[in-house]
Amino acid sequence: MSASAAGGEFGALIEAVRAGSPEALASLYREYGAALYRLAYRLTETREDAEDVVHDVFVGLPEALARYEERGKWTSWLKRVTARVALVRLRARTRRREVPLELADQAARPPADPDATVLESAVHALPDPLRIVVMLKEVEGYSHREVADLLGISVGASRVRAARALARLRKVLGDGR
Amino acid sequence: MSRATLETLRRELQGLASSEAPPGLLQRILDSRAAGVRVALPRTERDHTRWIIAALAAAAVLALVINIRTGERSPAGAETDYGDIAAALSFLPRAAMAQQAGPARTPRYDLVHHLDGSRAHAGTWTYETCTTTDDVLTKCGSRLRITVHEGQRAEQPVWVMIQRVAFVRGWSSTNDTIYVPPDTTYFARQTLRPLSWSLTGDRIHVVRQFTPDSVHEAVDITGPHPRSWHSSAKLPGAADDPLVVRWARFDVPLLLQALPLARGWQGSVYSVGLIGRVPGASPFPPLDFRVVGNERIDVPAGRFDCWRVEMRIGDETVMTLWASKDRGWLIKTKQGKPDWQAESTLISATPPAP
Repeated sequence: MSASAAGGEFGALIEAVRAGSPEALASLYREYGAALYRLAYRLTETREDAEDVVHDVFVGLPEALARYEERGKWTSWLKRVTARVALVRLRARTRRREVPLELADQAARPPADPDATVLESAVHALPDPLRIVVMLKEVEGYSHREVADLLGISVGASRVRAARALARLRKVLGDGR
Repeated sequence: MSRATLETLRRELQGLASSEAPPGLLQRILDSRAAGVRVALPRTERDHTRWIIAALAAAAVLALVINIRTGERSPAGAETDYGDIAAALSFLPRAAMAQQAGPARTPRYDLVHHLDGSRAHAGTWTYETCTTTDDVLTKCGSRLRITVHEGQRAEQPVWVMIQRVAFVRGWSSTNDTIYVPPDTTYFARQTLRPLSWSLTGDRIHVVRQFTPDSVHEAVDITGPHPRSWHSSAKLPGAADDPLVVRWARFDVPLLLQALPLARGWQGSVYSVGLIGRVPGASPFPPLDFRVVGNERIDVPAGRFDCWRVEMRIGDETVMTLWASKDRGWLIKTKQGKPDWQAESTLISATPPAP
């Protein structure tokens, strides 16, 4: 949905957020917060980082909306912003060489679903450049063009990374899958 | 991987459990806003800043040449991707494209004087470039071919160097190849001082003529929006010092054949970029060369014992070069940043490697 296409009620909601209305911001959060949190979590792999990402996105949203030009889908724009914030956070974490506690503790966590745990572990084991592309492309449904724009890489690089990620996952999971 | 297997894997990925947003997050957001916290969110438009800065002068002209030459434009929505251009041409360091703004740089080492140009020799060298982004190989296949032969110009013995570049256009779905018009340089055979440099495309003609103390540049563009500019500038250094010509690349292969490379050697050579249309820029930054090691490397053209040479402009390492110890051939180059590298290797040579 684009804000302009939605017009009426939704357009008024956006205007109210732009104007700094807490109630309007809360309405937007209730509508999109959960999906954005899931996206942030998939990219950062930690609850703390995902929470901080969504916090920052919504805190910055009223001012960011001032330059939102209402072109394209509103939800796509919001997810792009969230992904960018998550990537910035991830890169900062990588520079600091932090290991998320959730990953460090993973071995001690009881597996609820054995198959899912194997896949989760395989995804976690991917290098970030591959994992992020496969998350954005295969889980979030972005096109390679969109992934390339988000990450500042070429479309070819996005394709290569996705293919390599899938190949590695398949290798880890075994040929039978 | 079969399609069925791939689809199964994709479905499983989409079914991966995710965490749910904590219940207090909305209140935390509202509290932050109420407390006056503000966050500047990143823009979502594609950020070309680094490339635009890097490609300030020559790459803009180069892009024009390419588009004129091929009669094509990039598809709508695919902005002119300087990254693709730069990545395709290993001899196109970003610093080479951009004129170095600000005060004129001083050479880090002693200027190279009285070069023995007779150490250079004729031949043809072909290089392939591969680029890597975030440690993932992204593209190979771009080719640079350098041909050097003896000639005469105004009754003076010269080296004639012709460089041809062909690279695969990254934004194209058909992987088509772009052929940049070849450029030709005449060097005084004894000193390797450039005498002229020219490039002729379908609708562009660029000429740089060198005299002992100055360079004259003429750029003429024809077509629907014709324009021309002519500029002159005084050259730095002595009248018989070698100079590195910059266009889309540093023209260092011939220079390397004549430099007295040895353990611990270092020296500086002025380079010449476009001199017009870049107000406030210094078109003659010195290139600082330093031998930093030696290494035996294998490339498709053979095995070579090389000097490893660092090439810098100011404080920035622009490129690492591997030059063969026996003939000074340029065997390999490497450049880039932590998240992006381009590497060119010699894939064939005539005469062949010994």
